[in-house]
Amino acid sequence: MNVLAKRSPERGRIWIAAVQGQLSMSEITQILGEISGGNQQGAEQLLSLVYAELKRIAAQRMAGEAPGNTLQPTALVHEAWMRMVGDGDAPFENRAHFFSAAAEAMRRILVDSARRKHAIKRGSGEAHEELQEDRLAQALPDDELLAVDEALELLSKEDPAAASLVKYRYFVGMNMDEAAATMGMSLRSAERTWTYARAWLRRQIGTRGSPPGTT
Amino acid sequence: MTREREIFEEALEQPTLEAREAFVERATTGNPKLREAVEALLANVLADTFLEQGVAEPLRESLTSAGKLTLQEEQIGDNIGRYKLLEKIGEGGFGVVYRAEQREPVRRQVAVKIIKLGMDTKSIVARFEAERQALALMDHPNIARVLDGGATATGRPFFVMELVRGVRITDYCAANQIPLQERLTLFIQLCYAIQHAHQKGVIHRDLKPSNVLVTVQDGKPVPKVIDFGVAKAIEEPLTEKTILTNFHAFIGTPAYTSPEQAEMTGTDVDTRSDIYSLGVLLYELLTGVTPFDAKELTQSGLDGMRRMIKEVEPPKPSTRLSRVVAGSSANPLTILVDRDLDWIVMKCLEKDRTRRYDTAGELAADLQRYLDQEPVLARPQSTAYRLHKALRRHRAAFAAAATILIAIVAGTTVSVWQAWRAASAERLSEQRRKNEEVLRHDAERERGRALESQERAELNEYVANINLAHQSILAGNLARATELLAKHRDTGSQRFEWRYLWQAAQGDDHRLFAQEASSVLSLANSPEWLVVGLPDSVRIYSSQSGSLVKSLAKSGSSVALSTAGLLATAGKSSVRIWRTSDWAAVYSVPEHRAPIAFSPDGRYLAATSPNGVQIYSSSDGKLVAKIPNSVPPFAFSPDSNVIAVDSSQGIVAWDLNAVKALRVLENSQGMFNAPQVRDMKVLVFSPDGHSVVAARNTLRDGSIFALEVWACATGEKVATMPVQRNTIEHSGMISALAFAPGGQLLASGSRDHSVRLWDLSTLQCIERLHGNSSEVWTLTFAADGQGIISGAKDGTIRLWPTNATTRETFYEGNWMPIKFSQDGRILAAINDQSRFVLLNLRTAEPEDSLTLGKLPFGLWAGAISDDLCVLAHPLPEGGIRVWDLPSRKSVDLESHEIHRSWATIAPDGSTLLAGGNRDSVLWWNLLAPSEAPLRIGGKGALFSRNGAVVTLHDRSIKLWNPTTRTLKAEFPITADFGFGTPLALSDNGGILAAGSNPIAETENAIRLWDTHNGKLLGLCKGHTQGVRWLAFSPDGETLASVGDDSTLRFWNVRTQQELLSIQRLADPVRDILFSPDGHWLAAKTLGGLRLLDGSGDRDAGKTTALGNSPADR
Repeated sequence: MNVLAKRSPERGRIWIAAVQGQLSMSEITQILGEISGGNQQGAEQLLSLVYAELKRIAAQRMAGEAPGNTLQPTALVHEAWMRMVGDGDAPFENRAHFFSAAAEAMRRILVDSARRKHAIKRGSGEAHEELQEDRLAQALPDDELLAVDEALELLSKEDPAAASLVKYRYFVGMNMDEAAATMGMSLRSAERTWTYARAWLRRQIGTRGSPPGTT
Repeated sequence: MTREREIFEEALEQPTLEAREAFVERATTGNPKLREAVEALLANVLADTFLEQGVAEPLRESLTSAGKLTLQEEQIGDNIGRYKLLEKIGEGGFGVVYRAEQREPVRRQVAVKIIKLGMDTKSIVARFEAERQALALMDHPNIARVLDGGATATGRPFFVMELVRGVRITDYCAANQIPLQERLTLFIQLCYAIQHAHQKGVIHRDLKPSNVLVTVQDGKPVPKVIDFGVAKAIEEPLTEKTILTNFHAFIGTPAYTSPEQAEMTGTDVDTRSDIYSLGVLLYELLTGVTPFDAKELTQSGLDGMRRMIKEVEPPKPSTRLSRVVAGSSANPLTILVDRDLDWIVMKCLEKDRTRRYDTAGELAADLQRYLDQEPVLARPQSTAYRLHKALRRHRAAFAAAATILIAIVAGTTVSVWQAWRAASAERLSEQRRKNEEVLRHDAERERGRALESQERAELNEYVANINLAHQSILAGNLARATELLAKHRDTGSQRFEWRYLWQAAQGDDHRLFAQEASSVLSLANSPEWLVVGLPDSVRIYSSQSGSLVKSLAKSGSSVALSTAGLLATAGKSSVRIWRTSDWAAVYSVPEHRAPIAFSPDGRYLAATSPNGVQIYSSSDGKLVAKIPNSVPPFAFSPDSNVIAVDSSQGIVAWDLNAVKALRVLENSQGMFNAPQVRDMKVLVFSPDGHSVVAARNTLRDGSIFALEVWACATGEKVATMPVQRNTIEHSGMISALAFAPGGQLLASGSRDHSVRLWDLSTLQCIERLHGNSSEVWTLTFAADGQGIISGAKDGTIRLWPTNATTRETFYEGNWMPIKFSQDGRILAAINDQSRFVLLNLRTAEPEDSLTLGKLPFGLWAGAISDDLCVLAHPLPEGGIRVWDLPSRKSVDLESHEIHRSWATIAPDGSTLLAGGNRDSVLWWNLLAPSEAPLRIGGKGALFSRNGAVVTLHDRSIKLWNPTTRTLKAEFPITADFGFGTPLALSDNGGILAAGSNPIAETENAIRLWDTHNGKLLGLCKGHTQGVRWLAFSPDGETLASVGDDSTLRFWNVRTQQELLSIQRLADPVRDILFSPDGHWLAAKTLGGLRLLDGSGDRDAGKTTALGNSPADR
């Protein structure tokens, strides 16, 4: 599933502009402002922008990297932030919206990739993709990732804050301090939420019959 | 929160497992399903790594795949940054070159080189960025400018260059059957271009025909070197692994690779590697083939190739030619390449680079010697060889001498010619004597040349290292600059530019207080103690003795001293309070963290909790107040009644007595969003309590890294420093602020390694302290306010005296420097208010002054004798007034010709030369001023410090006897001296410098002549606009120049190479003058008179004896 496939023509224009680095920071800020004003369309627009930006930065970063070098996902998201918003006078809500979009975008990137790999394994993947992805996605522990993702969907209905925290920590790779700051909660309550979310997800995945994390 | 989660969390709080089970049972009574759910949750609380490791590894992989899917080659019509690709014009080992269009800021066509995939983009771009400054300094008609560089959307590095529409130099020569002479001339131009780059510290590293293109301009071929900086940027540190992957990249040009480059250690490439490549190119231009066959090299494998380049001696060009000719007789150069060219080429191709030419300039000069039929240096020096060359040059003279000899032999037998013979014998011996003289002179000159070449090599290295040192200082790498300069201490310490850079490289006056093992996170000080917070310890020093008193094994993210004898230390999870009397722990505040602060009266302690900033009674640790919705940073007011603290609404001022918010500071929202900034001391109260100052590291209103100032009483924003929009003082995040006790002086420390001092009353940055070799993370004022203490990332703690002397002294006002006293202690200057002063540079006070009455609006303000006794200045209605300063008597020299003119006074004050703009130079005897002046004509005249007089004329220069005022010699020269042409004469009168006529010429060069023979010594080229002022250093080794481009440049007189270019001091420079001891350079700028100190090789930490606080502080 690719989120970009759903874009409207107008949003598509912005997306292209962003990919070419021509979308000005103030436009992004404007979108962020719209979201704060409750504009749901803005949120979707932001998501696709951040998604594109993350992929673009990742591509840039990875193009020249020797195998074995790691890319810090947090750094990636922060770079996207710096490029798209700048570290300027962004209100706290803007920051929160942005990082929440980034966490979601990162989750989609990962889950898409895991699914593709899964499909390839089972022989149902598209042939031309298989060639490109086969080699690259080998090390992906897609079982755990897909299981977590599925369980996370359920958790987000029951406890959205706990689900967001997992996205920040698991998909973006933020540490507890960063995640707490991003969510505007204290470190102590973030830690509590984390304990709860871990137990909850493990219970959920466990009942499905394949307890993860014990390997 | 769900009921399930509530029970779960509370259950976890229970002290024992039994209590937990009991609690769950109690809480879920009557709801077995809920009990089961909670129990399952609790059972899943495991201390393993589930979810904890995030997805860094798999993420990387998947992003790679996600990214790779979108990667594709750039297409015609694509935009790379602001460049639109128009046409593919080339493809090489490393990448593809496109013709592209740039739309802004100017519309022009450029060449865009996109590097192939598979190279490390990040480090390529980083290396390019590092080289950028050096590349920008290159300005040469035979070098294609490198304009830009970066990464494309798909992550490939690219470089943007001036578009050169040309063909390879080898192709051009072959296709047009260019004769040898022209080939060499073309090649010499190329050498000078490379020389220029080397002087700017740039090595090409990949010189080959495809990087040397020939374009035809106005029917003349012009070589252009492209790709400067590219090779260095894309060169990877080579390991066995990368050799394999980059084999193909490498073998792109092995034929031009020097032995040391073939070594592939990658570290040891210098300018002489380019000389080697130039040699290969010259070889190819002469013979049509490279010394080693490219195909042969590639076929011999990597090791074989390396061995060949490093060990095999290639055949000499002439040998190679005869071989080539044997195959085909088409080469017109065959017979023309003689032994001399062999020598020159083979000297370039020496395996041992110390045996090659030291510079490209020397190579060019040797080729020029070859063209001029002079002996080439490359050839082993033997007398026979030199004589051979001399004979060839003086063939005509030798022939004449021989004829006459024969005549003499015949003449002895013919008596009728007796008389003639006597005469001719005389003529003959004269002729012979002359010939011998010529020969001897030549031989001497050759010897001189050989000597000179050694000297020249040293000078060239000196010039190159001065350039590099300057760039290192600009880049903030003081250690590297010191290292480079230290190589030339012996000769350099005699020279102004060396001393000037050396001092800059030592940083500002300061003392290293301590070197900690880890980064200094925080500092606190009192008259007794200096407390240093490190990541895992807190170290306490005695302020008086500087000795370590105590070390506490606790984290010191934040430290504070109270007036009540307490020390607070804070880490990420707890705050501890200690007694300073015995360093015993008093109490701790759990679950609180850094930053912390004591109120100035010692009553309160502020610390950071998960719920915001909280205030405690510092004596017993009891909670006094919670400040809702607050986040660090915070600061207490000096009277301890108010705390300023950040919140989502902005910075709020809280009344601590009433525990209520007083006001939100205007427009203070989102000031501290940069990472980690909240833990630092970036919010302060001024000591008078009137102002709150915060460091803003975010972009707003066109400025970044700025200081915002609010009036505390009203909350109104009163200023931003720097005041001017779009100016930047700090170039990195501001990480610490501190006020001097009881003053308006504010210090800011930054990750740009510098500390800056600000005056809050004038809102100006008044001092910039350089010398830290890493990021400044924290700072505080010494308790007596006499110094600043900085703590840096590298663990250094440095003391900076606030009353330190500076290298640059500044006098406000429109002062024109006229002359230094012989001892350099006094400067004579004149200002636009008609005030003349003798300024004592030590006291910054005038020793003598004189108001001159109305001065005309004109080009010059005055002239003075070296003993500072005789002063001359023009009169508005024409003529010149001359003062005897000790007696305050004056005499007017009247002349209708002298109007808005220039004048110069003999060092001893005995005579005066003045001129107008109609070739009228008049020479007055000041001992008898009523005598009519001597009329000598000319465009200008100069006295040297030793009293020599040189006048300039249309096609010549004349030398005069200064006492008899009679002509000594006249030498023809070609130059166009116009009105306003800048001139300078070295102190010994030996060298004359003149700028290009700013009106008539466009080359912006400075010409240097030897006044003993009128010989043009060379040109100093580098200014981008007209040259306006010139000054020789007293030793005549350095020439300083200022142009309309507002740069101050220094030149090595002997090689005419540019030593350094100071972009602008603070304002554009207007007039310059060296002190006789060479320790000072006075420069008039738009803002005032500046004195640049080049007074000595001072070591770090030592203060110079010189000077008071400058007048403008």
